[in-house]
Amino acid sequence: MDKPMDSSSIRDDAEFARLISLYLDDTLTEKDAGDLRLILLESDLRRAEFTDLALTRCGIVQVFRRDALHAGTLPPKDNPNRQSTSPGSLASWRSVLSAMLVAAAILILLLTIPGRKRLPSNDKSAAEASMASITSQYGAHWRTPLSVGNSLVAGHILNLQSGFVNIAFNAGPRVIVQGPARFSVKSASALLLLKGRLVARAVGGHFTIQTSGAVIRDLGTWFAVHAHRSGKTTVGVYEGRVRVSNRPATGIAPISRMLTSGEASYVRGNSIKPLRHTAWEQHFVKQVDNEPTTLSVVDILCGGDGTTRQVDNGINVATGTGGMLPQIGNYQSDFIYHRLAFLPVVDGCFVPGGNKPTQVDSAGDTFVFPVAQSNGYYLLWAGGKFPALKLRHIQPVSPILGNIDYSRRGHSIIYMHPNKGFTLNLRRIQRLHPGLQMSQFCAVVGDSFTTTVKHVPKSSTDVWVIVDGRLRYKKLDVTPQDGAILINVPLKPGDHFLTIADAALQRDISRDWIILGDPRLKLVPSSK
Amino acid sequence: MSVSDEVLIRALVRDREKIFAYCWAILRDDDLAEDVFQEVCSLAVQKRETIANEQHLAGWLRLAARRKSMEAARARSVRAQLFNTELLDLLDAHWRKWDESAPTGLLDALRHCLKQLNPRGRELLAMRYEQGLKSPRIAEKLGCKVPTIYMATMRIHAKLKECIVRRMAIID
Repeated sequence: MDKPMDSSSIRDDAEFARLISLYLDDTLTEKDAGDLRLILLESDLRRAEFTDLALTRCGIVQVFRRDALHAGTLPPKDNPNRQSTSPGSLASWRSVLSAMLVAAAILILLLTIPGRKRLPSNDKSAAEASMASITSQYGAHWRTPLSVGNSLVAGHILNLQSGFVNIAFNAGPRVIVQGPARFSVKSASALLLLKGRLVARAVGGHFTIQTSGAVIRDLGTWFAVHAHRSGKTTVGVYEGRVRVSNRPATGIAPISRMLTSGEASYVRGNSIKPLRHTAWEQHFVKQVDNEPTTLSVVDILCGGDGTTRQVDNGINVATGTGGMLPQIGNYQSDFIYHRLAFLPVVDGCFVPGGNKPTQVDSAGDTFVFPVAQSNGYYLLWAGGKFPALKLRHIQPVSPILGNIDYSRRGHSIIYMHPNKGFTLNLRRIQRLHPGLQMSQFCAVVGDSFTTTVKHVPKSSTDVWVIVDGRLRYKKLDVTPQDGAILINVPLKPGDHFLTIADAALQRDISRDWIILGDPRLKLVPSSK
Repeated sequence: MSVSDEVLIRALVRDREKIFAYCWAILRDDDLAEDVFQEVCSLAVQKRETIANEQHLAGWLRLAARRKSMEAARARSVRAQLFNTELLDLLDAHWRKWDESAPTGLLDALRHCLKQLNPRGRELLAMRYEQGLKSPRIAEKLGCKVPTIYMATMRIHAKLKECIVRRMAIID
């Protein structure tokens, strides 16, 4: 440098030192920024000091981080004063990793620019740096463009801004990353997830995912991880087992929990707590393909994504509460559409009737159900056996319709004793299945009431299927004599809310055992 | 005529610290600065055909880093904005001086100089840059006033810079 540093000038100017320190602390106010700008504009010496300081600051951070990496220690993370932008944060730690491997990253970039001359295929450094590759992607927008077939090198931070990408690791695991996400391949069997969601499948186990607050070791399984911005990590297991550990400060032993199929937990700081009835599956994309498939509406009502075969969830349509609730008796409508926050892809529920417009979805669409009743009995129950009230003379609702027991394995059932309605958010469901679009809602519906008594009063129920507030299907006066009635409602790409409701005309509804058998949504490859 | 792959990679690896520091100076966010640096690398590879030679490349990288950093700063305008075009132009002259005086080995020199600091100086730097503490918390921990920390920070940086320059001269 041709300009010697004038240390005395710094000592003389406490104000400059204050402003520079605030700049380093990242706590400059607008006024401070204006004052510092003025000083820098006026003084060439201050500008020299400023550039020196910025360069040495970044250099010091790099040196500290590299030393920590070489020593095998990670920066402490339990400092309450730490902010995400602090140099000691994981972000900086990542930047050092990336710095060390930037040459490899650039080399890979050179190799992957379309139309560019490729380096000789026997270039060992590139081959050795590659730990995984992109096998497919759907609607993926990257900060730095990547495409199918691209190799991923260790340490390179990847920013998936939206969409989904399938990554195959050299050691065998397959991962679907769901944008927006920031992540980095650590090795052929490890990934650092800085922010966002992913689903990993590793036959035989030995796959590790790290987040800022947790380490997830796969023991031969299929699981999902969400690294929240707050530092919290959510882990859910579809199949098999994973071991979840927190990442405490240096010198403190981590705590661990084993999770098995269907279980989920979250890790925050020094605690690992179970997640129950949170429908965690409805936050993750499990597969990215365009194979036609069908989704179980029962699974969706139980918190799954339509493919996880969950059963047994009750919804009180009069209050919007749900879960493994005890059975209820009579309820009276409050004429309010209840959102179901605990089921992200189920929009809400309601009690139809009252001879006035009833709100049927969160967009405010209404429908007039031509019935006066506004009360009902029981929970809307998805899957399994009907949980009957433990009272004498109360029979459980039969799951058998047309000689098929829809509560048995291989079938699914929704018990919809009259005067109930629920609405699915088709767009949210579709987002869980990229590459596919809804084509059809199908089910059988019927009244499963059976009795040996010869003379029982006639009773009947109307069944309605509504899309975005408009009628798509209705079956009036459903009686036990009708048996199983097939419902087949085509769905269009723009459809948003699918509502299914039933309502009885008569006051005595004790013999209206309406059930939906095998309610399913059919998906076909998206036309996009 | 354009820069070769080899020249491009060498320049990006060699100047990484300086380009990163330039981005950070504008953004004050390590994470974002890292993103911008990666973007600049990607852009350089894509635009390689339009870069005439190594001298052109050095200026090109600085300009690209400046544009991308300002774009990123505008997109995330949560921080008080310090820079305007005039100030960035003036500061560029000083960044170029670093290019000339410290073409390589900056981190090695800095590592050497950090060892020369007294324990209290090293402790202060560790608190600020390793543990991510801000000035008031450092003052609290060290049992002194906040303005003392302000002055000490400046003094340590100045010492380090002088040491780096000396070290580079010896190596040269």
